[in-house]
Amino acid sequence: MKLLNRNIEKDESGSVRLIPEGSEDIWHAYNLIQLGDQLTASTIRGVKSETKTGSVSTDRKRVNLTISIEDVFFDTYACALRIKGRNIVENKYVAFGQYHTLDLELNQPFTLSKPQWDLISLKRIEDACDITKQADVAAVTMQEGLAVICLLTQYMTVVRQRIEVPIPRKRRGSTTNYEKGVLRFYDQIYRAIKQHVDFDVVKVVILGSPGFVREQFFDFMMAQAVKTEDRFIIENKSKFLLVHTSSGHKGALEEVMRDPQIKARLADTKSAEEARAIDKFYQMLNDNPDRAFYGYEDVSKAAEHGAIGTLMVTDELFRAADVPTRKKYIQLVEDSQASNANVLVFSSLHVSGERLNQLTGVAALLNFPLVLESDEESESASEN
Amino acid sequence: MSRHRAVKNLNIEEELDDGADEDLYDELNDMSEEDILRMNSGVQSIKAALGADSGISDAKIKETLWYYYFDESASIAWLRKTYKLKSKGHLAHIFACSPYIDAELDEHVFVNAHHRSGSPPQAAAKSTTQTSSLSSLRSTGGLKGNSLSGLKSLKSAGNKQGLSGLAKPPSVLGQALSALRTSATSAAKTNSSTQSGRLLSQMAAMPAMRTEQLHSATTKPRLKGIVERQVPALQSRQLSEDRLGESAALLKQKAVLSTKGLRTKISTLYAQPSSLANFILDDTHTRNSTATEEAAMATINKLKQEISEILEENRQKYANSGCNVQDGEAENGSNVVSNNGHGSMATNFLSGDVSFVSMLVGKSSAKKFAFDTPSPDDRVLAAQSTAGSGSSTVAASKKPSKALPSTKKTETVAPAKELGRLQIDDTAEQEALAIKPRRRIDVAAEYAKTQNQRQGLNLVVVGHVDAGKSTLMGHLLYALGQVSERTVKKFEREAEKIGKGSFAYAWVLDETDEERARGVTMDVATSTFETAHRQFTLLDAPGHRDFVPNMISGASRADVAMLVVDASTGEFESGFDGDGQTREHTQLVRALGVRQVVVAVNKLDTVGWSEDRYAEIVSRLQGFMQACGFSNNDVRFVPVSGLDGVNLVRRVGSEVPELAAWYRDGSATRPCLVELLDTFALPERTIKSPFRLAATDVFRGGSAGSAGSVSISGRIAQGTVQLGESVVVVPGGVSGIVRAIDVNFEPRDWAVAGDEAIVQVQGLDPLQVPTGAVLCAPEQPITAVTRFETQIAVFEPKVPITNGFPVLVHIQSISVPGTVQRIIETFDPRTGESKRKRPRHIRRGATARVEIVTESKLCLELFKDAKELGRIMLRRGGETIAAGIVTALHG
Repeated sequence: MKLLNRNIEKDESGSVRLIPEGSEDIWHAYNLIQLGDQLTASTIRGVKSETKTGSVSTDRKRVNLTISIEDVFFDTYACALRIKGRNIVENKYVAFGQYHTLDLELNQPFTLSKPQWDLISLKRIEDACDITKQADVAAVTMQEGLAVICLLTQYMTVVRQRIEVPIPRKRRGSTTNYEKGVLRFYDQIYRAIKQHVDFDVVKVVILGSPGFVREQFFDFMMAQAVKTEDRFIIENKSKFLLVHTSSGHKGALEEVMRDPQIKARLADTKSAEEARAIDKFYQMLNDNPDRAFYGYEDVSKAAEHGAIGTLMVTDELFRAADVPTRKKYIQLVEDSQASNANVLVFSSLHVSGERLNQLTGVAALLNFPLVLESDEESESASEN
Repeated sequence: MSRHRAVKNLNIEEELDDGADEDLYDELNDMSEEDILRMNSGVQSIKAALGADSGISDAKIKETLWYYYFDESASIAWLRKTYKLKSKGHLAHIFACSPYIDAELDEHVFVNAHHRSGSPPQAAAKSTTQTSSLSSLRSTGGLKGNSLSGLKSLKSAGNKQGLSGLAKPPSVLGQALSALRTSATSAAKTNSSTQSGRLLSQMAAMPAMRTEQLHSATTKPRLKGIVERQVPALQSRQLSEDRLGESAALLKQKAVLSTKGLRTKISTLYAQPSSLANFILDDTHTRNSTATEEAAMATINKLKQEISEILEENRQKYANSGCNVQDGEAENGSNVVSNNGHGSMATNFLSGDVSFVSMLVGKSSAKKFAFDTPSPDDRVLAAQSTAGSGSSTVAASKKPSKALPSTKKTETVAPAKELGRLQIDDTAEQEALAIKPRRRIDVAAEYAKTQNQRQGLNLVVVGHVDAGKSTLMGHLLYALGQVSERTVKKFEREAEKIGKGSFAYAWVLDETDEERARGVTMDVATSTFETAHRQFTLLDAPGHRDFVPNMISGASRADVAMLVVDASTGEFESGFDGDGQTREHTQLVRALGVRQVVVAVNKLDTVGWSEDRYAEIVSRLQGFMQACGFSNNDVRFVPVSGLDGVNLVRRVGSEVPELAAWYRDGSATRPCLVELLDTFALPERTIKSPFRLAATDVFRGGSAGSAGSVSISGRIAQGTVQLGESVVVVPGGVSGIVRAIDVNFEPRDWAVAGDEAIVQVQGLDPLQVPTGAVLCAPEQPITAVTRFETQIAVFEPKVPITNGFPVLVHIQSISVPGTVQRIIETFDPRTGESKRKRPRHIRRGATARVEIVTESKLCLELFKDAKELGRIMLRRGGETIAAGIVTALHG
């Protein structure tokens, strides 16, 4: 979330202007908006006009409306926020007191006025606008010469910094170049951690790496903290968790999520659940490929047969700009739900969500095996 | 104690008495360990180069080596001259004479004495041996064996091409000449005559050299190498031929200036090249009968044709010119004829303008090579490349010879004009090439020349963690004398201190504190050692599964591999079964193009050198390796103990009776590890392709000072590189000039495909060269792409590969995150027939065509164009899931 303007009087009444930037911000907005508040936002209004002959035409007009909120609806699957209320600022198309339902749109600014801004709400804005504060887990994936510092939230994995330091390799007779390079590399990670990690919010700092990098870095960091009397690091020593990953790239976070140690510490966050689901999918694809489908066409066919056990969709599909695509996927979600399927909407900002995105964005585990026609065709073709 | 007393106590005589000789011996005695190693290897290689029966004592070689500070080529050149010359008395005489003549000439003709103050020819004239002449030349120039700086100063003198062409093979000569250059530009004349003297003596040495080469080469595979070696020899012959023409002109001038008796001697020398050619011809005849390799035969025939053509040409020209040349010069008349005219022309000038003549002569000697005619090297190469089509070969070889006289003609008609043009050309060239301190080396030819020496191979050592790779190799290096006793003793003490006594040998290669403390190799260690016929660059790869990326980096630089397996109970199984690295490494090594492997069955002593255990391991591995695509002939096994050093460099004897009892064929013990390594076949080197070096390591500075330069180490995948050449970094496109090249920890002037080189490039910053960047020839840079098509062979991933599958793409030393964007089809690896278009997933063991998109740019080549840069590995979650070859690049 981006805070554009904050105009709060001494009597605690006033308004803030915000731009929601991601699905998580909509979630934050949902938590901010209460009945009786006033919301100004750009919206689309169907305007009826009647000609003299009596024929009626309806135009859809984009208008800026301010409504007094009477009802709020948050669509958890699509991550959409709908706000119903009465118009309080008259304009050309909409008369005073007419009802309108606003859809809060991403990347469109809105102004929220409250008769009283309490501390909780203000804190919420602060949190929403500061990605650092909303993160409860920080993760550093490392390999020699490369480190990625991420903040993981319920809905997002945000890369705060990517550190690349060229480290000369060990050479015959001299390791000083190498050792110097390594120290420079560790020092940069150390500083980045201090800069990006707010230990008041972050519960866990994950240090993941192949080999011994994480241990070496941890030792370096503690030594450095003691040397410089860095209270924050020393006090939060217990928050650091050392985990094995196969590489230092961001993709290794998925392995972090799989680690049982982390699962316990994160108390089943969304990302861990997603990681598990996608693992299950691949395992199924390996063991029983007829029970693991991906791609819209295959999955929708499975949905037609009512075969879907678990549907995995990324939220990106619902963020699709064109309405038909979005509807198509919403329909799929609805159909699956009708057949009692478990629907998981992956946050496309998580590593597992990204992975699902690459895998066409939709995948399904089936309750029973299905043979697809396309498979039959190609199989018969190859037999011929 | 006061200082005064210290001075008083000083024995002044003793201090002053330290003569030069003693200095030398002191130095020899005080050599550092490294120096001693270099000395030993130097002596060996020189001996190899000179042949066993050269009759030169080790001490002499050592002294020479030390004098040239391990410049082997210089030493060889010097030794050759000194010792061959003695057998050819008249040549030595000539050589001794020519500087003398020069000195005389100087006195007669050049009145300005400034260039003569401490002028080398004078010194040379006084001494009759070449040694002193050479050394005085060197000392005059104030150059200490640095041929590069010598050549730079040479360039400043303006006519580099002619001289550096000569300077190339005997680098001492180059140094000497360049030293001369710096002393005075007007000494051009002296130069060329000194050259001629040297050349003559060299030429005399040549047939002898060649005999050695030919006689030593009896085995079939080496035949080709021999023929290739003859090419440069032929080239240098031609080069000398032309040179001789010049010197003849000069000598004729001298004759005019009342120097006598030289001509006949020159003419006898002139006969030399042709007899030389005949020699080659004769020899190739005998070779024909024994040779079975067709390629070699063709090359020989080509050479023969070439030689006879050149000789024929010369004869014809001589006939046409109809000039009166002395009888002895008949064979090589053409050059002399043209020079003759030129010489007399010059003589005419002499009376008028003495200094101009000296200029003219100097310039003309410089001119011959630089200008419009292809160099003799090019000539032979051109002829070679057009082998098969006889007519074009004739055309190629005729052209330059025809061009030569005409050049001469214009030169004599309008020398001043010609000179002006020459200078303009020179400056234009300078501008175009920024820094180009020397004439381009024909690296291909140079490389061919070195083929009779030990041949380089890159050996990667792989295997499961704790199989004992580093210990085995550390012990091997120690046994081969690459590591001193003292160092090993030191390691033993220190390792003992931290309770890792058995790791002492591993410490030779595991040099970082972390590696030593943990007892695990983390990154590839590079070292070098030599066997009887091979010069190895050793790449000791880590075995730990987390460091497989490093192992890939090592293996992608290797020609051959050694797989080390732990024979002890349970350990072999843990490395081989499941997801042990014995399995993964073997697959990777094969996928990276290594065909020949020696399997060292290590730690066999822990099971009492049991033959059954050995046989069991061999049979299991053989089956597996065959499945990986190794041919059984290319996989050889040897039982060893790395810790105790059994069966490494010496065949097992009575000290280990358990092993000696069964490790034998009949009465003879089977070969030890080093013997197996020594018989690795040599791979083809793609030196003709454009230069590519994939950076493994990048660091600031380097061997030639640190200001504003970057050293890039890695294996030269293809092509050649030499000092002064411009190279470009992809991705990024920044370029720089090569300032230093190190191969196997020794400085070189050039390096070729297959060399594990450190190239120092001027004008770059380390940040501009990320690991994974490729140094290329600027004319044909490699392409950097993010999307490409590849054919993959899937190993044994835990889950199948789908569209959108995230992977790490490993190529050479880097890994880049990417995704399998699209599975195009699966196909049958044998027939190449498509099995299924657009499958939903690829399962283990399948082969498929896929499209991969990476996050950042990768430098790739199509596999069919360049194998080494067209191979990729796909990894995920710490396991290698597939190996692939690049089939298409998308911009």
